[in-house]
Amino acid sequence: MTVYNEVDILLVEDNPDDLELALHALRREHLANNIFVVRDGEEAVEFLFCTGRFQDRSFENPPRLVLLDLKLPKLTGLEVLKLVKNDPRTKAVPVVVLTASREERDLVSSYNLGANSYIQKPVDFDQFREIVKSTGLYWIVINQHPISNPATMAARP
Amino acid sequence: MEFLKSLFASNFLPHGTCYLWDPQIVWLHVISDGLIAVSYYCIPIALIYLVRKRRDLPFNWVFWMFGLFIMGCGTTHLMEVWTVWHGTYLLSGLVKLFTAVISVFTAVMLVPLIPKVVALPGPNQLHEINRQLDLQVAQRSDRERELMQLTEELERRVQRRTAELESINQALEKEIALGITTQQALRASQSRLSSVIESAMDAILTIDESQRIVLFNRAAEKMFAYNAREVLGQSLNRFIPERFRAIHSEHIHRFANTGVTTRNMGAMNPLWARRADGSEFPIEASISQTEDAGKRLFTVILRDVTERKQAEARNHLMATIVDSSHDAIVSKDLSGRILSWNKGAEHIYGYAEAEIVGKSVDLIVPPDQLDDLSRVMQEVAEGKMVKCDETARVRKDGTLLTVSLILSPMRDAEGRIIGISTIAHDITERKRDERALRELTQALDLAPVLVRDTTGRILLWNRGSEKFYGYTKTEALGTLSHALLRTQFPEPLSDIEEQLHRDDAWQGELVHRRKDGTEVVVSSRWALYRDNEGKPPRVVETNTDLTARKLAESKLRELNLTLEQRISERTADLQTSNKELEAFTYSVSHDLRAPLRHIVGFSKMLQETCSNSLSSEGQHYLKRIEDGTHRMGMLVDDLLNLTRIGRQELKLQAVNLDPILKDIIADLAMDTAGREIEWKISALPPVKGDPALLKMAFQNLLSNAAKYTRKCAKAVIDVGVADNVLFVRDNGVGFDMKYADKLFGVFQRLHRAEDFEGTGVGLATVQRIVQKHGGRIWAEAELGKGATFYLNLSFVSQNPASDASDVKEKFYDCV
Repeated sequence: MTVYNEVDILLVEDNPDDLELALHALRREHLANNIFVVRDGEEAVEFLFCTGRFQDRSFENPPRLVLLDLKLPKLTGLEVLKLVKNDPRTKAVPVVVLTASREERDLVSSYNLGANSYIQKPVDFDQFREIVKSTGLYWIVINQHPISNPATMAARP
Repeated sequence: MEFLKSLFASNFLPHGTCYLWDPQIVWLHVISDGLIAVSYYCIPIALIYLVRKRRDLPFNWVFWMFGLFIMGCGTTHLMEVWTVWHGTYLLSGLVKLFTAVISVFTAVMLVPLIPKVVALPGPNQLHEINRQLDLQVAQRSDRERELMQLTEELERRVQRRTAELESINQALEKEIALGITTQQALRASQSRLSSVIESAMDAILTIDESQRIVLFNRAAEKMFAYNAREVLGQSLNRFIPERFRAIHSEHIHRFANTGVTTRNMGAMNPLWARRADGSEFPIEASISQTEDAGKRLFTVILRDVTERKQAEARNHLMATIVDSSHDAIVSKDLSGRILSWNKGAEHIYGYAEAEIVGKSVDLIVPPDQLDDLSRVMQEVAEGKMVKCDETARVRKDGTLLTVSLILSPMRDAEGRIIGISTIAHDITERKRDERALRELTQALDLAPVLVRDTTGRILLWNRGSEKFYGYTKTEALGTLSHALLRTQFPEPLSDIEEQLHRDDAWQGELVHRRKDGTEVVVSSRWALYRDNEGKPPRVVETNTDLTARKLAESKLRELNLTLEQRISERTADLQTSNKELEAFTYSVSHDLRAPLRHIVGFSKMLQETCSNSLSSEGQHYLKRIEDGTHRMGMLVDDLLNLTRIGRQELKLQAVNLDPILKDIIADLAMDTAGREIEWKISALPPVKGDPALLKMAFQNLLSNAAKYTRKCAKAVIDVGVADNVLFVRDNGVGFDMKYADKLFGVFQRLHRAEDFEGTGVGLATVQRIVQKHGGRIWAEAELGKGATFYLNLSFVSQNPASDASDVKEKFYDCV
């Protein structure tokens, strides 16, 4: 169970292909040891708000980065984003929208709701890998985490 | 003797020797000559017989000459026979000489004779002359017969006259015997005659050759107002108006010389006589001449025709009156035969007087009226006068007339009814007018009309009003109209009345209440009617029901409301479908690209992880998969762009194209690295449009220009304005103009993908953008020589009057 509390990246992705490609890219760059995957909006919310299936989780250990797809079953990415950014307990969690959508309104809505970044998935796989690499590098390595918890950081399996 | 001997001497061979004594030849000549000789001797005999018998023949010596000449000819032929056996050629020559002399002489004599013979009358002429002679003879004998008859007649007359004379003689003898008795009878007769003359009604006067009056009867005394004693022995001239005297005496003179005993005077001109007081009067006169004891006397019988002339004048006047009347004045006998027909009748019925007088009056009466007519004529024949106000008659051309008639009996001097006079007045037109008026009145009765006095009291209430408002005439008359109808006025009544009295008319919409309580909206017209007799004016009010119209108007309004509702429904539908469309494109942009990414991603991974185990062929296939997926990605992106343009709202503003073009060219620099491209960008006026969309359009056009000039050694790309139209020109490969219509179609390409890559969406996008701006795009090109794209967009400063804000912008630009 502890694995929930040691998540570096929460990947919210319903499509198995996308999921596989994303995991492949992330792992190849060795940016995060602990990547946790949820497959729909509801699960993402339960995870982040420590409810339902993830009620054992604690707000003390938020993921260092949430990679959020927009088109999700049950709750959409934007709905998830809204809940996360409107709640003081989760507000500080960096959320990067990683989506296939090129719609401007998605972009605008995402930023309005408090997304920390908006990335469009390119068709070209090399480009995608490049993006994933730099994103991970930035948010996991470079960016200073708001609730930096060395204890948690240290308690890796 | 010697000569005679030589004549008959035949020292020569006979002619038969020449014929070698061939009996056939010899006898041929002998018989022929013999026959000719006999014939020639016969002809003179005939001629001599003719001359003997017709001694009247002119030029008979010619016949003698002919006879002699033919005789000679006969003898020569006889000699021919003789010389066959006897060679006496001297004798035969002499005979020929004799014949020759006679022939020549005859021929010479004939020359002067020919014209004379030609002039002789031929048998035809002679025949004609004979015929005429016979005619003359016949006429002569006719005349002789007549003369004989005349002579006989004359003789008969002489006998008759003789007999008459004898009887006269006998009578004379008797008269002489009766001498005394006759004298007495004569005296009695004279006295009777003078009393007749004295008592005659006509004036009788006798004048002698020198025009002196020898007899003047009592009637003459009365006529001329002279006493006989005063005028006897005086000249006649005093009874003749001075201007006629000369001509009168000449007439008398001429009359005396004609030898005629009696004659009417004044056949040519009316005669005038003169009374003692100098007044003149018209007369009728006859004159006779007698001889008494060698003196010639003229007796004139005169009649004063003053009264008759007056009567004639009256008749003439009457006739003129009848003829000048526009009414048809016709007289007919009791059987209906027309006796007279005036000009008015000609005009009304169309028949000329000449063609109808004598015919039956039935001609102008319609067949169905004939019974009526005979009944009326019967009444008139009984002495009644019949008036008929309206009846039908037929014109000559068949059209029907309406006439009013007066039929009255015509009587002769004894008062017997001998005919019927008819006066007809044509009232066709009047009847037509009356009918029209009646129809008009009926039509007017349909519309509600009322007349009221100025106080509002109803004076007239027509059927239309009764029907429309429900009040009967008796209910309405006398009441105040505004109270009865509870009129609601659109403005104060006093204002309306003021206008009515100023303009004599008013019109407007009123609300009236019917008897059943329902309200009606009417268009009301008021007219002030003033007659010439100074009566107080009246108001004629005509009301037209507008209720139906108002109802229609409200229906229309309702319809308009529902229309708006329908529009908003339709708009909502459209909005819904727009939303659906958006969802669709969202889905496309999101979901359609996902598999592409996957294909690309996994093939890449395959390449990386299995590169060692993949053959070069397998590597190639993987590359093709990657390329295809890339193309698909581009297509999806372009399509999404295109649909986005359609949905996107235009943000119009004045767009300066120069910086936009510069940006685009800079962006293209990467793709065109290493190529020689000359960009010729003219100064362009600001365009009214959406900057983002315009940028997209020019991006497409310029990148196209760069793409299709790729194979040129030196590309020249020109952007400018000509005739208020923007253009982008390149010197690239161009295209065939016959495909120009496909240029702007989605996915339409004019080049192969191997030659020039592309999705076929770019120009469709440009066209979509230009059309969204209300503009137009077209292209001109030639294969291998480049293409020019024209964009008809509106410039901001082009028309200063079009938009105040434009002017302002321009003003700011200038500042």
